[in-house]
Amino acid sequence: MERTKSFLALTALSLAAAVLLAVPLRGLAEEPAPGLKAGLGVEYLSRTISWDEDAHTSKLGGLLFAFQAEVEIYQGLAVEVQAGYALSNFNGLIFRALPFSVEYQAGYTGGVFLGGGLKARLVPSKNFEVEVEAALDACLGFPNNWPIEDLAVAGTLEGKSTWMRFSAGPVLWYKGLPYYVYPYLKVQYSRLWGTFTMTETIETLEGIENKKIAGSGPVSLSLGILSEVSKVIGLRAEVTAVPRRGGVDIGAAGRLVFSF
Amino acid sequence: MRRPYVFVILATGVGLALTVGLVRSGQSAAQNDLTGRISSQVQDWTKLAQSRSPEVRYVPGRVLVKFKEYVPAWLAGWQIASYHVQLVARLPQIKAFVVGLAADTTVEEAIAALELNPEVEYAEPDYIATAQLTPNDTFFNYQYALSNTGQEIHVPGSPRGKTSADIKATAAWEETRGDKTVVVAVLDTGVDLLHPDLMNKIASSGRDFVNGDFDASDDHGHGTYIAGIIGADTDNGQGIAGVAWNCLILPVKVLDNQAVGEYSKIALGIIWAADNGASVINLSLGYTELSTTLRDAVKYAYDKGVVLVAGTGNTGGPVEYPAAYDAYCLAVAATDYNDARPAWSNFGSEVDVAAPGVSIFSTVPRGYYGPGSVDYGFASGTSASAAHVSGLAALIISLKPFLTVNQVMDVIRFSADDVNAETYLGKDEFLGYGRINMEKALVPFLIKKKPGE
Repeated sequence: MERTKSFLALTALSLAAAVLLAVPLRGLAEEPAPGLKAGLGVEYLSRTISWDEDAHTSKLGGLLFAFQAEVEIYQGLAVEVQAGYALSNFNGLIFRALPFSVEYQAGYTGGVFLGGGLKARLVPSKNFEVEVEAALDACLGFPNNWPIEDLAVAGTLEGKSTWMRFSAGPVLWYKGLPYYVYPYLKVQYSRLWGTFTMTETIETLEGIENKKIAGSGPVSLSLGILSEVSKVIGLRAEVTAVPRRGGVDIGAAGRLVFSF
Repeated sequence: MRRPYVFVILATGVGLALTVGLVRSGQSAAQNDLTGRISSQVQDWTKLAQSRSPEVRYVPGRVLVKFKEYVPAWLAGWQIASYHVQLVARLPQIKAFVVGLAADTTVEEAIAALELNPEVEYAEPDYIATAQLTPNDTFFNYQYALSNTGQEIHVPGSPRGKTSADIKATAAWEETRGDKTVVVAVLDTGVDLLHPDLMNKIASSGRDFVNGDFDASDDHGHGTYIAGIIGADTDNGQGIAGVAWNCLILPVKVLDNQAVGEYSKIALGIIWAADNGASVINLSLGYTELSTTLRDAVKYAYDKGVVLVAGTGNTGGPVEYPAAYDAYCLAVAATDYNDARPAWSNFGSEVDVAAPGVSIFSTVPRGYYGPGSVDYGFASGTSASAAHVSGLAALIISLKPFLTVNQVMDVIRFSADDVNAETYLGKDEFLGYGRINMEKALVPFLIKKKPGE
């Protein structure tokens, strides 16, 4: 229930932010409505996460597959939604608040991936275009069970993860290249947070730990390219770097876009 | 010939005399000889082999592979690619490759597949090593109970123990060495408060219920011996290592200079310790008779959140009290350097766990063996076994102060190794759940991918 409330609150916040961002658009020249875009997206996520009040770090790996749709609801203002399947990997996460400490090394687990966002085109010019994006994604993991076999008595662990990601910031497009190829640079405030709940049951011995995680690095830099193969089909590829203390996390995404 | 004698302290007094679980072997002459030999062995302490975790830890999704000498590097690289795996790193000096597996491939499957290739010399998991902490205490090599490498367990010429028949202390110390806010009360004959390997570990001069004062000095030796096992000053370049490096000892004298004490004094000592900051109470003492007073005192401490640990007794008979107060007390039987049960270790359904209790090396009061001797000695008994468990309890509480008494007791029980499983599978009346395993109790174990996933 608390998680749902948090999700709704952040969605509302994102929508409000996007509406505010859209206000300056009112004075811009009108353009023909681009209609609806739909697509398939895949993203490889690699993000350093900290936990136990930043005392420890590990990696969150993710493979996100989603159907995406984008509708321009006003001149220069578009809404995007996506839904699909996510694989999350929390290897290295250690739960020490259980009676028996455990280290997660079970690899990828599945879950539902949902997301939504808003885009506002702010400065259209001949060769450059600036967009402002705000997006909120959530991965709601399915519960998983693992046996505890190395103790004098048998036991089980049940784990379930949920994480969210909010990002917002400008995208600078360059539209001066021939052949319908459009590179872009994205600089975003990027926050990732979540919870991994682990329940340990060993006969009468029970424990539960809600491990709060937070993504390291508040800013992400992305370089991408959109190639319009035809009027209908576009291909988009993007590499994202999240600088953090002691290194940088690299992710990548690809998208097949159909314009209607 | 040196003839070790067995010195069993018996409660010969009338009334409520108590037997104290200590069988002492070795005497002054033997000890002096030992001292000389120890000095020549001190230099070798760093050569201790490390105890090894029974749980094999390796990186999921990764294997190490080496091709035969005649296979050129380019061909090896090509072959690796043909397995649809990812080359993570090369070790060109030894012609090995680190290979990342696809998400749906287990390490075992990959090794089996690679070993079918006649050009592969070997394929193996990428094991995860754990730094293991070996303290620099000079006599650590004599503490087989903490790290059994198959060394001679006593003076030169004595039997060698079975490797890994120990409580896995060195691996566990990587996770925690205890917290000085956690205090272990030693209800015994007192403690030598100025022993060089204990003086920095004493919480206070304690309480003496025998002489009615606040100076729980030891006039027998048993209490000092027990205190050393639990919490001798460790990694201080001298003496021995204690199980709970950083935890403190609270001496409470309830046994007299014959190691005998009345239930009333023991009950007073338990209550005083519980009221004065003890997180763990070690009771290396016992007697055959049930007492409501003693039980109520034990329950009082238990209800206050204190973990009570007691030896089962050294007569080979039923579990003695207070260890037999099953609901409130961890009853500890003895094992030896081969993980076998000595015949004198008391038994019964109340036994929770076992710990090494044969030829355990620990502190003795200064001058105990006479001038010029070392202030350490060997002894045997479930007293020593209980002390090891008390040390573990203190470490668990240090690491996880949020656990209840019952949870601490269960962690100790369930993490034990069933070392007599061949004859008594599961919990039994001789060793309970088995010989304690500090590594399992304290170090995180791995949640691995389920087979077939």
